[in-house]
Amino acid sequence: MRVNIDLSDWFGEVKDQKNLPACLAFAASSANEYLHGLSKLLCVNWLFFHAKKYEDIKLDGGAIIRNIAKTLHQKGQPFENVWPYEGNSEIEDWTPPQNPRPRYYAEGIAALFAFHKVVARLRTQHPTVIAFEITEEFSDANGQSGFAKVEQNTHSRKLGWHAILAVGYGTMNGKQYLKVRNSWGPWWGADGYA
Amino acid sequence: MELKYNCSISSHVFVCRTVHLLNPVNMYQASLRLGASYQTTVQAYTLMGTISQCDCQNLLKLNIGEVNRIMLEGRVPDNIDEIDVWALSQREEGTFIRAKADDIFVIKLLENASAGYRWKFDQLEKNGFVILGDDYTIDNSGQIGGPSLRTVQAQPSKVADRKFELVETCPWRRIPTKKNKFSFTYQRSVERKIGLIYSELH
Repeated sequence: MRVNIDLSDWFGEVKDQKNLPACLAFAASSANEYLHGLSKLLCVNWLFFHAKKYEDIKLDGGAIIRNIAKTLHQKGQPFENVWPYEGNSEIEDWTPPQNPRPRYYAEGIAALFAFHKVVARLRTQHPTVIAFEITEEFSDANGQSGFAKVEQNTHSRKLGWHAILAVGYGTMNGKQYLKVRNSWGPWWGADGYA
Repeated sequence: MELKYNCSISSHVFVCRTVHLLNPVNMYQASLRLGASYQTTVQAYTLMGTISQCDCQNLLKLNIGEVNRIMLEGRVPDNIDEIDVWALSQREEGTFIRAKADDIFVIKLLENASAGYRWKFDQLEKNGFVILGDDYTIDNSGQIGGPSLRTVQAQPSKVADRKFELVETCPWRRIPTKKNKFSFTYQRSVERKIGLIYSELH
């Protein structure tokens, strides 16, 4: 693999969303941390909660891209420690803290779908949120050799919409590959990356 | 005053539930649970005033084969008119099903695939179920990360009476997380002619 861009070293350990549908909030949070050059984690709960509140989506429903972008632009994100992420779908009282400070705002963090657009952003050193339909190949990515290669093709069975952060790209045997940071903990893929 | 309020709520719930029974698939599933034929169940609900005569006539226009075709979504066996199709979901956790060997179970479970979780159906296969279909219905509403609907069609061809417990797992996750489970108990029933009242056979 010839590596063209790899920004993964900038990020800390890959976090685990557990069984909450918070993948988009995790990916966007990491992008926002990178944007502001923060070494501390930003609050995923805050982003997830407010993005869903715009359209009154229940806790077990996913987030909508435009609402994640709107939250980052209008409400920003405080640090993780003001409302730590537990990933518990049975929380009864899911209430955000009042007016936490400081908060980090962002414009232009949107999820992309087209491969060439993601590569173009990575070339300018911008980690990029991707939304796509995962397959069994992605779900079962095995990184025992320290490297996890996932190839999804149009015939693969689709399991559902997921979001991750593209942090690099490279070329192998004439094909371009993205390096992606997932939010399924360090056990998936190679230390949480593929 | 309080009593009147409660009555109003109850009546609202009753109306909502009645609407569900106007769907032939739901009526058919109710008949299977009651152990009566589809026709008998429709007529019994009409007699009780739960559904109208007009709705009764509409429901009876469909036969079981047609209802089965709707439920199997194109995967139709040759003996479609002779079997029952059982719809199972997490709403019926722990249910008891008495079915024939050539009946088909349509198991619909919400799966958190976007969080890395998958339902495992190998317990069914290991214990005599034949898996006829395994499909995903993905939420394309624009919500990213939400659950998909996993639909498995299975036939209890060689199954002995037993309880099945399905688990939604994430094998590589090395921390304990809450696991969704779905269980049901299967008992093989005697052959019966479609349309007979089930209790007449016992």
